[in-house]
Amino acid sequence: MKAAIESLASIEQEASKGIEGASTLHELDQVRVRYLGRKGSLTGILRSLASMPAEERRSVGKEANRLKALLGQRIEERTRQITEEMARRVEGQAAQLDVTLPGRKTWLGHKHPLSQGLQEIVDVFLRMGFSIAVGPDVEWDYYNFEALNMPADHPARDMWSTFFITDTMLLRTHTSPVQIRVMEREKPPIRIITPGRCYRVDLDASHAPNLHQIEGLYVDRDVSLGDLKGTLELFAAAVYGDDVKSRFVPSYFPFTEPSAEMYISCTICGGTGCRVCHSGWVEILGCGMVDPAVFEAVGYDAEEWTGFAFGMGVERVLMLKHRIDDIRLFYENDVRFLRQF
Amino acid sequence: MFRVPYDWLKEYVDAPLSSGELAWALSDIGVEVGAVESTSVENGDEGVVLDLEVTANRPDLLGIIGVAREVAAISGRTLTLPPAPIREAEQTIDALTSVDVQDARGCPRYCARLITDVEVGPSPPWLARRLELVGMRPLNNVVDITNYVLMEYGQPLHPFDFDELIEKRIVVRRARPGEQIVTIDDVERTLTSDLLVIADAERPVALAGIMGGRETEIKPKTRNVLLESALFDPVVIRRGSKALKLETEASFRFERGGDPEAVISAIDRAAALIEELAGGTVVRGRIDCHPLPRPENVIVIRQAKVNQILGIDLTAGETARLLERLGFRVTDTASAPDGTMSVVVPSFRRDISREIDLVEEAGRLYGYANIPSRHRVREFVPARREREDKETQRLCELLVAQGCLEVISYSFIDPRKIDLLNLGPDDERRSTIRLRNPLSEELSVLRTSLIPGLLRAAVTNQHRRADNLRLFEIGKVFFSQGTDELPLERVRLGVLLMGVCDAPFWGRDPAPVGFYDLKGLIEGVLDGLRIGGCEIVPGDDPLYAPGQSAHLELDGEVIGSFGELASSVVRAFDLAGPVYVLDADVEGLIRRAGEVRLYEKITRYPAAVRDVAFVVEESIPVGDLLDGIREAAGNHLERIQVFDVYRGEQLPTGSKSVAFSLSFRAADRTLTDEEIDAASAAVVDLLRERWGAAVRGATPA
Ligand SMILES: [Zn+2]
Repeated sequence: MKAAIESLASIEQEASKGIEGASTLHELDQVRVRYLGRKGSLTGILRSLASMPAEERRSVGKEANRLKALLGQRIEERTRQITEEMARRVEGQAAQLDVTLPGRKTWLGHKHPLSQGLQEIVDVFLRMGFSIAVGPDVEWDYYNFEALNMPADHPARDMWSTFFITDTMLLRTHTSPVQIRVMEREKPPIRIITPGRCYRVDLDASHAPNLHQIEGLYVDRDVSLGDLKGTLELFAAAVYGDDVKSRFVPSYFPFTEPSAEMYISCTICGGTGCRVCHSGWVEILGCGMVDPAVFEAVGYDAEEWTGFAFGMGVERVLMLKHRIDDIRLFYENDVRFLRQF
Repeated sequence: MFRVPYDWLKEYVDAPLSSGELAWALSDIGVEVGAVESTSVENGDEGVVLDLEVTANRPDLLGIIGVAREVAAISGRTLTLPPAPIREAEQTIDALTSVDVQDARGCPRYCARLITDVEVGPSPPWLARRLELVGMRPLNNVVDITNYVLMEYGQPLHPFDFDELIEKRIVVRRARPGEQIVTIDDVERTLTSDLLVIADAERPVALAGIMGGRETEIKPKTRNVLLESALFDPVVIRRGSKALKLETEASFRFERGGDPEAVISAIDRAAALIEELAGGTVVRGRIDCHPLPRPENVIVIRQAKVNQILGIDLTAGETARLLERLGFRVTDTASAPDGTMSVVVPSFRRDISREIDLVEEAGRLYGYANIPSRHRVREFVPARREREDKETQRLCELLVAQGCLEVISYSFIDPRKIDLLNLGPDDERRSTIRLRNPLSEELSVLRTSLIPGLLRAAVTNQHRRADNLRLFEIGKVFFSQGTDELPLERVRLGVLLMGVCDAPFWGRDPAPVGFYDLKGLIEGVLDGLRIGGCEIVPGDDPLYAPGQSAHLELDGEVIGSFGELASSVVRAFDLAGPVYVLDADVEGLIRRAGEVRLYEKITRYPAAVRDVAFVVEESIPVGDLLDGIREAAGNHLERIQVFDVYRGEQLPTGSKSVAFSLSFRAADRTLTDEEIDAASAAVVDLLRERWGAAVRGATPA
């Protein structure tokens, strides 16, 4: 009996070592077969119980069954460990992550740069209390010229080379006709901006036959050239940055008097002079005090009301800002251009 | 535009300013100097030319003396006019010739001088060089002198070969219809009665204010010269110049208006120079026909108005001094409380006729830089943003969010492109509005559709090896309403898809774009604009391939169409591969968009999902089945998704299997299995009864 008990003890020791030492499921199975298999040593002891005396059978049997359960449990545990280790190893090998491979993208949409620029400028004036007004692209000569203090045969008409449809119907050369239409139907105070497409008979690197313009009009009591300067300086700061300097020089437009052109310090060289600006200054818009003749055309009393107006080309604003050297790029719609903005 | 040599300018006013300083100072008072050009490097400001951009209201600045007046105003220096010392002969001009102005309105003043025994030859080098500096070609001394004086005074002069004038006299009259003249550019022109001509006893010898005639021009053998200095009506000259398509130094100035006093100064100056440089003798006196003298121009100006418009606070005296520096004469200064003054306008400032003109004059010399900027908050005005504008922006954003690039095309198209669209003979898109003066045939009509512009953009990109395109444009199209009414302008949306539907990725093969990609994009837009109830029905627009297009209908009105372009159209536009386009009316689309939505409660009870597939005849639209399911499933049906459409071996020919995933949910409780089963059964029953649909397979939750 003592020998049987001792033999169980050595089985426990060896089998435990074997289970610990097995590094693959195959090795572990070999350990199981050696002790718990049909011909295994522990199985042999259990099988021999029947031929043992009763007292011995009881004590050896109890110890052998305990050991069988224990080994079974340990093998199960070890199986799980080995499986997990294997899984970890397999993952590590097969799914080596290459963080430098390109990711899966979706198409990225872009608004046209002109739409973006138009929106940016419009937003600046919306914040200053200007409302948007729009009108037709095809206009009467009256709204495009005559009501703007340019009667027939006025030489200033040559400032805009005009597409005509009939003697009296044309493509507007500026969005000023919208100002006339708004003043015809509303009483002051008026504070509007008029974004829209305009047309000129011109096509080269700096002229497109259609272009986008934003004009503004403010009519109220005692509006002065000082108000015009203040408003447009705020605009320039909002679009070109706080440190931009501005300069107003007298100019001529038939529909404003006094008239001015607004220059800002060149955003490329900061005003010291460069290949683009030459002088350090870049012209960005035309403006002035609404001419009394325009007020007369819409039935406003020029003694009661004064006002200012301004107009700028969106293409020009963007060409300066992004250093685009050919206006035709805006209308060519090359996706390599569109995706840059 | 108008080139002013620096040292020539300095002859009339000796301002202590370099050419650069002068350019800046002139620009500051509104005389724009476009460029300062240097023709000789060695000698500082010598040979320097200021290139002026003269505005249409300032013809006085088209003469160097006019520019010098501005410099004098800036610098406070005095103006020195060129000398005109004429040694006149005994014989008087009246005995030798006469001038008869028959159209006083067309020619308010006509002066003539006669110079005899002239020797025509080359000009002295200094004169020739100055003409070259201003961009004129020297011809001979007599012609060069008239051009020189033109540049000085801005007053066009014309020399006639006196001996070529029939009866040796001048008549200013309208042309007789059909009369002809060969002008000095060797063009034979047939005249109409709109044109003013200078004639001799029989025939026109010059187009008044525009160009002289060949026969009476100055030739090497010319001995006696009749010099003309005149003033013509701006409108007559402008119309003539437009009608003849002939713009000259003279017509450019006359149509902007001249200075009646410069007529005299210029003719005397030219006569003196001819005498000096061409050796002639000036006949005594000048003929001066002045049928319509201009009355003195006096304007009343109020100091209060000056300050109100400019936003400054000057006294009347200060304003008077500003105006006087510019050559105005202020007669009574500030006697009235509002500082009312009378101002006499000099003859060379034809552009000044109203108080506001004087306000500008005072303001520009005062300096815009000295006017304080003002930021006033008056009454708050709420800025309006039209609903259409907001919704159109939203539309644009929804397309961008779905990976589309916005394009902007010209409003003009090539009418031949419209013909390539396969449109029916009565299609309204065929009746385009034609420009009278297009840049080219390619840009000669206003667009009636955005499709040609999108296809043009597609061709441009495909030629540059960009084949995967998702483009859209939002813009106006134009339809004629006759000549008495402006055209109808409609804002439309065009979308174009080509190539593959996903951005390239190494882990998957790209799938070509198809009808359902475009439809999905449209559905995304409709969802995003929250437009419900838009019907999509099979379309028949011949722009598209047969059976490959649909109409969009909202409230029973067709608001657009989309589908695969007809292959003939694709080929005609020189494109490769299937092209899918949408063409829709933006106003129609957004009319229903943007209504304020009320919040729908988000329930915390779980959804139950039932998948079911039906076998139906091929001809039955899935849209009908979806309507049927919604009708039968009751109000707990939250969502239906089509997740498979199958045609194949296991099905009878002419039929298809459509699999739906139905999601049920109640706001206030968890639905029971029995309720969901009942709803599913109702769906099965309705589809079987209405379309003979057989259940192909169903899965429980
Ligand atoms: Zn610069």
